[in-house]
Amino acid sequence: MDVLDKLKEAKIVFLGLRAYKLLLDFIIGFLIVAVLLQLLGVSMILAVAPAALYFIVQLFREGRKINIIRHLETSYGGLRERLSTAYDNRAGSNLIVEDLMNDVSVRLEDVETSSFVESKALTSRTVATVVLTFILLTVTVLNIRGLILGVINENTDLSNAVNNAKERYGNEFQAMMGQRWEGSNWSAENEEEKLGAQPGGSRPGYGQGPIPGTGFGVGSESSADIYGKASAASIEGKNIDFQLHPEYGGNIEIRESDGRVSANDFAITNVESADTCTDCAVGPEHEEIVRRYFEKISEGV
Amino acid sequence: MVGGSIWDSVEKSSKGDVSEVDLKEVYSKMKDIYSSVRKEVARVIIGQDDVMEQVLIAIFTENHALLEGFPGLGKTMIVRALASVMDLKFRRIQCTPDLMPSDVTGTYIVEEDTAGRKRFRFEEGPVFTNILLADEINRATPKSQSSLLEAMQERQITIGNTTHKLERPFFVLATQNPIEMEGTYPLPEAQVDRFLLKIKVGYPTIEEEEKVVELYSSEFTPMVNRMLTKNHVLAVQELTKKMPISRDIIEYALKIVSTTRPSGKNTASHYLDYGASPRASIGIVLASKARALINGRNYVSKDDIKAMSYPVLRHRIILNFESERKGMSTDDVIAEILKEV
Repeated sequence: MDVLDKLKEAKIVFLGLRAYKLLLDFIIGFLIVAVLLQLLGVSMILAVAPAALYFIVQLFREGRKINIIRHLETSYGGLRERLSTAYDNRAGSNLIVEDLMNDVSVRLEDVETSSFVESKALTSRTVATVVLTFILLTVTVLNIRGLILGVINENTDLSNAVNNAKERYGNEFQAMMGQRWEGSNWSAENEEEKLGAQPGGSRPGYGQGPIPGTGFGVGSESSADIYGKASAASIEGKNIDFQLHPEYGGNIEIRESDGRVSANDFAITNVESADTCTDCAVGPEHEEIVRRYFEKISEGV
Repeated sequence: MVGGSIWDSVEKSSKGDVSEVDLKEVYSKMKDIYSSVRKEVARVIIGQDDVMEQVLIAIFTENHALLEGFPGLGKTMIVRALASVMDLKFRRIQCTPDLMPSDVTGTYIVEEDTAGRKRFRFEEGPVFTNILLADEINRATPKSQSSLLEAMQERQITIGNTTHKLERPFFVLATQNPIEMEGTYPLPEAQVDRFLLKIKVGYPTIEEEEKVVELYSSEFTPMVNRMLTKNHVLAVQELTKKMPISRDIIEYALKIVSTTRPSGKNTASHYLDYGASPRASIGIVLASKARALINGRNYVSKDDIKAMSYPVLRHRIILNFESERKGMSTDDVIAEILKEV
């Protein structure tokens, strides 16, 4: 048997082992995709397509890389440079080439099939195949997808419930959450005990007393100050005490943070001027003091 | 003959041409031939193993070699010893400035025959030999140096209208002294390129020198015996050409030679003005084949290529100012190039 025949024989064995390795790659690819598809609830048959694509790509890549001569020369030091020289000069026929062919042929006798086996690569692939098969079986038999979806649904329901409550109850919900608000001081018990109740509550109807028709300004404690007592507002996280004085005129509008108008305009048409203002008019007893005050100021300038 | 046991059967056919039988026998005994030649030469030359190997490679590839070294290192002795071992016709020219081309090639002389008629007869010069030792070749004038050009390249000489073929094998082994530059004519690049190898002859080691002193200071005059006939040499030359070489190895040799040519930012562009010619590629492959053969191998290895790159390339590359400034030799640059490839 000459060198070329032996090389062919070695190449067949080598290709067989490579094919086995590729087959394992194909199976691994199939299993990985199948597990993912199973989790997504898609038919596992579809996993064949990407695995087959990977197999074909690898086949071309490996096919290009396969160089039995280089592999043998690397594995067997005695064949180093001899084998490639013999192969390149296979068409030649002189006594040195013939001698080289005989020499290489004898050395090729020592080549063992086991030298082609990439034990590390094959072992790791075999283990990976077993593990992935186990995972696929687990995913399929235990219906892992169903379990995962159940957990997700539960979480989704709870989350939806919270959001719905927020949308539906709005301010009440915020009040429940302890935000500072005028109405947060309200309690039905206190309200019930009041005859006519105190104005300024934000929830009309809640202030109705035990006697029907006596609530909200009807009783003895009725007051024109419908804006309530001085309270606090929170602007950019800073609490500011403020008091509304609509009697000084101007428009007051209360807006929610989202721009929605939550209260009507408080347009005050009855604006008091200095002339009509009895509180701010200077009495005759003070006129002298005021005059001197301005004189002092003008002297100082 | 010392090596009689090796050559019994070959000697019988040594008067004829090299036959296939001779080739087989020579090939089968190649390693023995080489070692016996080395042993025989070692009787007069101590050490210088690399030099011996390279000179033999030049001979077995039917090429010429230029030996460069300081005086007294045995350059001429090596060539003489090899010529004696090979039983080849050997001539020597001591190159001097007054050497004329006709002193090399030969000339027509007028002679009178028995009838009293005068006619021109060609008197062969020393070039008509198998081994021509051109001692201190750089002392000859360019005109005389160039008279060797045709002989070296074409293995023929033309005088007047007549071309004379030189006998095979023919090779020129020239020596030159690298330090005495005064009164010398450095060989032109075209001529240097015709030498396959430039062999550097270095100093011997202390042990080798001790042996040299012992050998040449005693009453015993060392002699060498004939080991190879002309047919043996021709057979080895034939075998050298038959030595198979892989494509990868040829590509490796070509890559080395092409890397000596300055281009882009390669090593050559840093250190060289000019790179080697395609003749260098042929030379490296041929010399590597001969090296593989004398080492008893039936294939050429990368090591052969690497080893032969130095003697083949060192006279074919021209250093630039940068490498001279850094004190780099041609061998240093070749080493860098081999690293790069």
